[in-house]
Amino acid sequence: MAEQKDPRFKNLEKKVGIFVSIVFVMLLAIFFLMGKERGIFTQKYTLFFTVDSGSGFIEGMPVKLSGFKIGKVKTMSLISDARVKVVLEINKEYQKWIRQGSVAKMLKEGVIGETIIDITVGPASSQLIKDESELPYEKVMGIEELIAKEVKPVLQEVKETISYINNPDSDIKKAIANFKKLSEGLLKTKDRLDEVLKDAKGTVKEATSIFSNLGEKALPVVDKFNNVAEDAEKASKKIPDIMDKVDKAMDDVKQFSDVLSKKSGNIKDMLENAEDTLNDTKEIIKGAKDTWPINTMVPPKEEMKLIPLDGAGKGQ
Amino acid sequence: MQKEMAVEYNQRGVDAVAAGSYDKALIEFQKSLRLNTSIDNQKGIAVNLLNLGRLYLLINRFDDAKVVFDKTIRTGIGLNDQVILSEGYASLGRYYYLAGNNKDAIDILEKALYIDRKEGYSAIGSRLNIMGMAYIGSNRLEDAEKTFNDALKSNKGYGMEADTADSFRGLGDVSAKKEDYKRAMELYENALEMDKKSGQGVHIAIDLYALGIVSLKENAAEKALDFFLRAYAVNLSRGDAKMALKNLDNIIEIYTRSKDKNSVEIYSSEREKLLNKERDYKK
Repeated sequence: MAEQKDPRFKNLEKKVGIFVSIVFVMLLAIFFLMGKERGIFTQKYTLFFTVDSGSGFIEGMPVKLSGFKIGKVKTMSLISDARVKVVLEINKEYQKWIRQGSVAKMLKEGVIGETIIDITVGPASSQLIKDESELPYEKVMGIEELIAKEVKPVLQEVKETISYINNPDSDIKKAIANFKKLSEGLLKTKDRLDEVLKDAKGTVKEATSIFSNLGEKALPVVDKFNNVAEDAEKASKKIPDIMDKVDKAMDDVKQFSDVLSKKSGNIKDMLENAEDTLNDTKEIIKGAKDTWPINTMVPPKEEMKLIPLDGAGKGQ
Repeated sequence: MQKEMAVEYNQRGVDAVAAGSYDKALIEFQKSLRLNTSIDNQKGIAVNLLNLGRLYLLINRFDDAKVVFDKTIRTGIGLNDQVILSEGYASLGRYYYLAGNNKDAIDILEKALYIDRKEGYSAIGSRLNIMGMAYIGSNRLEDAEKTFNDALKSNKGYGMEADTADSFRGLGDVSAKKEDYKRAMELYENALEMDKKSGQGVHIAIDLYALGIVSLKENAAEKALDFFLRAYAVNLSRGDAKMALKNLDNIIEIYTRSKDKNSVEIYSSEREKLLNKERDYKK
């Protein structure tokens, strides 16, 4: 083999060796840094809990304690009683906070935030939860359940009220019917009153002739009789006007009742829309309440309070 | 959710009592009790019963209060809840005291105190205040004075302003019974100051009334009139007709003695109006 004369190719193997070594060391460093970043070299331990349904859980889902990521959901598997076993992989350095009394729950971080598993810090006096042990899981009520419990009964009551108004046997419908009967009765009474007044007029005329025979002293009495008869006639004339007004009022009530019947369908749609809006609002509020810094401003739920027992004397 | 609603209704009831709206409070406590019963929340039920019982005492429904307190104590025993038991015994003690059964009041309050001392509860002073009143009712003034002094020490120690005022007032009552009106006046003034600090409207009126009575005993009619008028204003603003009438009686009496016919007429007419209102309300 001929000796290489070109100085550029002198020690070529050595140069290639150094270059390859540097690249290799750099790759190793990148691999190490990435591994460290992803926690590959961090010591870990596992905890698990079981739930009725695995819906909402995903492998890789972050596990947090006091808002800091301390691990992830490692695996999920269906166990013998058709329940789901969720295994959590937690960084060993955080084991000191997870003690007997710690509880895991699934939460949503903010309104559009990711879903996480949150673990509460256990009491300082309790023992640590060991590797591969079970962690208690607390179910947090979902929006659907909240609505089912809170809003649906109210909506149901509103629907029942509307159907009650529409029911022909309801008190409202019966009251309207009775009112109508009353107004018809009033008209008949008016007719009878007219007849009575006609008779009364005749009687007054007869009485006038009798009284005129009695002399001048009886005349003022006769005048009063005449006035009474005239007043009664005026009153009788007013009855048709009153009846017109009553009829008009009845028409209004009937119209209102009809409109209500027709609109109850629209109201149903409105209620359904309201239900959707309520769902959205509740979700937003709940999300806001769970989000920092709002969660620090929301006061903790208060316990049942007692009225202070009065210590004053009875004589005062 | 129902549990949270029950807490909410209960809180509304407590607030209504503080505002003197006893009818509203009754409705709120009953709502809370219904919810707690529907979820078998025994502790919540016990708290509701205690609040209902204490409200019954405020509106003079003593028989109902007794039934409710007995039930609370049974629940407390079942739950082995020392707070509920102590509060239940103390409430029953207050009932016995108001019903004039001072001996039973003292005995049952001892039970509450035993629990409070064992568990280190801060309510000791409040129990001692009621016990002191029961001693006054039994004419055991020395025991009463000692008990109120113990109560005062405990209440001051725990920073219980309203209960501290009750202790001062109790000591004032003892001094008044001993006819030491000067000392009574000082103690009532201390009570008034404390009650004003903690905004206890009902108790402010009681302090002012007590100060009026002691002033009358000291023949300071003008001073007494000022106290009664102030107490009357507090009563009216809180809608407490019973106490308002008591104060009006004293106001009319003082004006009658000073031969101020015009004022006698004005306040007599107010008294008549209040009485009519009370009669209508009872109907």
